[in-house]
Amino acid sequence: MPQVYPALSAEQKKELSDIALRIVAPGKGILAADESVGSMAKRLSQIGVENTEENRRQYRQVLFSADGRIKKCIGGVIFFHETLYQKGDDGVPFVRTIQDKGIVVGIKVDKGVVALAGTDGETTTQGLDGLSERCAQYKKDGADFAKWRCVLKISDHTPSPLAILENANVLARYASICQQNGIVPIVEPEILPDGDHDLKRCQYVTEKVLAAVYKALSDHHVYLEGTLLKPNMVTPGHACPFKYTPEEIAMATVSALRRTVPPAVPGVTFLSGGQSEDEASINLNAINRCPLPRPWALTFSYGRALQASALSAWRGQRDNESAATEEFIKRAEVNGLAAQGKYEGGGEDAGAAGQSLYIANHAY
Amino acid sequence: MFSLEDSVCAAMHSRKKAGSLEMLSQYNAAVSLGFAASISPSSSEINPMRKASIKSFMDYPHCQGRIEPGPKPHDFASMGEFIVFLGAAARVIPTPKMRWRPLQQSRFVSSHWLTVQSHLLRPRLFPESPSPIENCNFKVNMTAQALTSDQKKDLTEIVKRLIAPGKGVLVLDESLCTMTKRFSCIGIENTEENRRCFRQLFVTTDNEISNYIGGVVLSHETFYQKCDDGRPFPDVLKTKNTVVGIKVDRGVVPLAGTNNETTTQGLDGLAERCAQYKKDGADFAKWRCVLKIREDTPSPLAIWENANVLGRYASVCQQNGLVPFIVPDILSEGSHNLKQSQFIVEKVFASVFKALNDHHIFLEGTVLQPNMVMPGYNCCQKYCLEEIAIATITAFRNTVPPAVPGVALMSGGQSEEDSTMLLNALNKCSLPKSWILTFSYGQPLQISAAKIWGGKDCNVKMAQQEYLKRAKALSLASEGKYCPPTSSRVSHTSESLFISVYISNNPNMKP
Repeated sequence: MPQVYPALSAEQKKELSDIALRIVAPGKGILAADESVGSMAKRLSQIGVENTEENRRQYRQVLFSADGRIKKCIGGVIFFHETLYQKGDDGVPFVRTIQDKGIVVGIKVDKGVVALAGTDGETTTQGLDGLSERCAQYKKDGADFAKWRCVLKISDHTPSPLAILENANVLARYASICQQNGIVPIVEPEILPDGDHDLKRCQYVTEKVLAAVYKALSDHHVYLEGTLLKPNMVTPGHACPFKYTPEEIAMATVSALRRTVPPAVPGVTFLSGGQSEDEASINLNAINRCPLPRPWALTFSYGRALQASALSAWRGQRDNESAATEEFIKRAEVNGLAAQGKYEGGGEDAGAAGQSLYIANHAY
Repeated sequence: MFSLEDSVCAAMHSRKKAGSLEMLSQYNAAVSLGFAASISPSSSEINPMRKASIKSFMDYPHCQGRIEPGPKPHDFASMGEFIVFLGAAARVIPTPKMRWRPLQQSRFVSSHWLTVQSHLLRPRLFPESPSPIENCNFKVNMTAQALTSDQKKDLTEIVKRLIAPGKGVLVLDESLCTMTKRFSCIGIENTEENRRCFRQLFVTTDNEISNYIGGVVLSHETFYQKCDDGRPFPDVLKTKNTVVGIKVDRGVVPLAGTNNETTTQGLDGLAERCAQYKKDGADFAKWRCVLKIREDTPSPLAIWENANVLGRYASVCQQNGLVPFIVPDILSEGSHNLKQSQFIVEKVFASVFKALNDHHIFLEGTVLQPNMVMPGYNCCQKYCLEEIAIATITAFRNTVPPAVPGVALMSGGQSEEDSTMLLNALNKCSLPKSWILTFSYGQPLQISAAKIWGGKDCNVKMAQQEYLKRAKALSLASEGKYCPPTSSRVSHTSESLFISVYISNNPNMKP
């Protein structure tokens, strides 16, 4: 029992910690551009664009060609496997374009959810097979952090103890393997907003899930200073009849984190989970203005909430590219301010920013 | 943790495969299912269903004539039957006359502690009922609030008065045998009167003490003792705005099948005891669990069991308006180095906080009372203050959620000066801390005063001055502002101070 078999050397720990701190530096967050082929199909079909590899490349190019303004507000970009090996029109690999802006490159490494037999539609996430070799290769190819998404849902009988235990465990295994290969693991235990549960219920479940996650990380000897957490904000279910203010959401979220996330964790990068662009920024802002003391950075790791406006401005047309990129930069800057509690606007924007991006039972 | 369903299925199967299930793990499963399923019933209701089950429980063949002290595991044909029996027992709300303990070390049955709201065990008690396994209706109410907002508010108010920058806790709850050792050092007899006079010394110190001491932990005996003027000790402390605490555990007991490891008992009737202490002036409680570091300890069982019993105790305290001090004491006996100690502390704390979460403890209404991360007494390597501070705070940063308002460290047998210097170093350490780091000291606050007192009334005032002095020093240390006096035994006041291995304070090495 007292045998300490160090999982990481001091140099490895320092490298991981430095990467994590760069990603969540003050005012910076993450662009999640790691939608799978299936998810991209849904996105592109909304704007009437065919889901081909070339179209996906062009779309990501719209985002990655943003100018130096995003250096201040984007600390990391999560890639999908395909995108990691794609190049821009100028022949420069996307990885290098992003790295040249001083932004850390990340890679989604999970292989999607699979059913847990004997449960009420609950899942775990697969992708551990050969993960070590894949991480080593991704590290060589420029990635410094990774992401793995587990999914839980709230209903009368869920999340069940098995679902919580299994997902916490698989997240810890993934985190352990990543760290062995010099990659910072982003731990994502997403609790879906589907359902009619209220804010209290979501807070309760979030606390139980996060407690299990951090126990599993401890059991697997994961170096917390070299990880990031990507949780849901604590929100009521989409079908909940009660409305809550951003301040209530912020209090519930920060309380839940304070009760479960050890201070060693450098940053919490929230997922947007189907909130509109506006909502996601306003809530993040309220979280950063919450009076409760918080020892971790509280920032964003948004996919839809950073891209929706850009996507609808682009519509697959070359001519719209710079306008679309502008939309993205705008949202990135807004969220950069929100991550410091300095965002003053919000609410008045109509159009894409105000639209709910909720997709029932969302899978990437 | 086993689910109720798993355990009963195992019980059913074990009837066919006798001995294929390891006894201890099944016992643990039964205990843990008891813990997991506990819901506090109102003790005044015993509905007809339960009356019937009480009756048939008493008719259960292995039970007859064996309510006190109760059947043992080997009385049953198989472990499975035993588990079913435990489950049946768990369905019963014993009346006060029916206090029984099925196992000598069982703590899980107390007067109205446990009800398992399940119909799974019915077939054993009511053979005519349909088999319920497929119709298992075991529902956990996931949204039941353990505490109301008012209760939570009260607990946080108490914590604010108790633990503040510059304020810590005086521990005055030493057991009888510890007091024998202490009194023999100053040459007086360990009588109840002497203990009363000794504690009175601290309780009646000048009001200035309340700037440095936010709370005092008393043992049951001291809690009900009075000063010379007839006022009960808790009342005197309250006039000084000091929060009164009470030790509620009943000491350690062995964990069978381990290498001399222990758990802590005291859960029986704990709710009533807490309610009474609260009425009589207590606002916080203390419960100490003990773990040792050796080749093969702490074992997973010891860690889990002690974490769990801390979770139970904390839950009962909060229900009765007492702030629970969580004390997972990892002893410094042994030859482990600082790294090993830090490793163990992190594992233990991770378990403790998981257990607190499982038991729905309101973290903002608790205080953690840990030891500092230290090398073992017999470790040959020397460490400076900064190394100890960094190891300690890193361990806490890795495991203690920010919602915990304060960490009140134990002195763990260190000398007066060393324990003050260490607390100071911790508060000066540059690592960010999310909780107040203060002291919960016994001997370092008492020892000099005790020597000056020597059992004589005429020395009381001087002894109290000495106590005040130490308390003030610790108050400064808890803000990182302590400067050791140049004339003390400590040779210099520079940042780095080597702590020679606590040979002078090692109880094993005292003459």
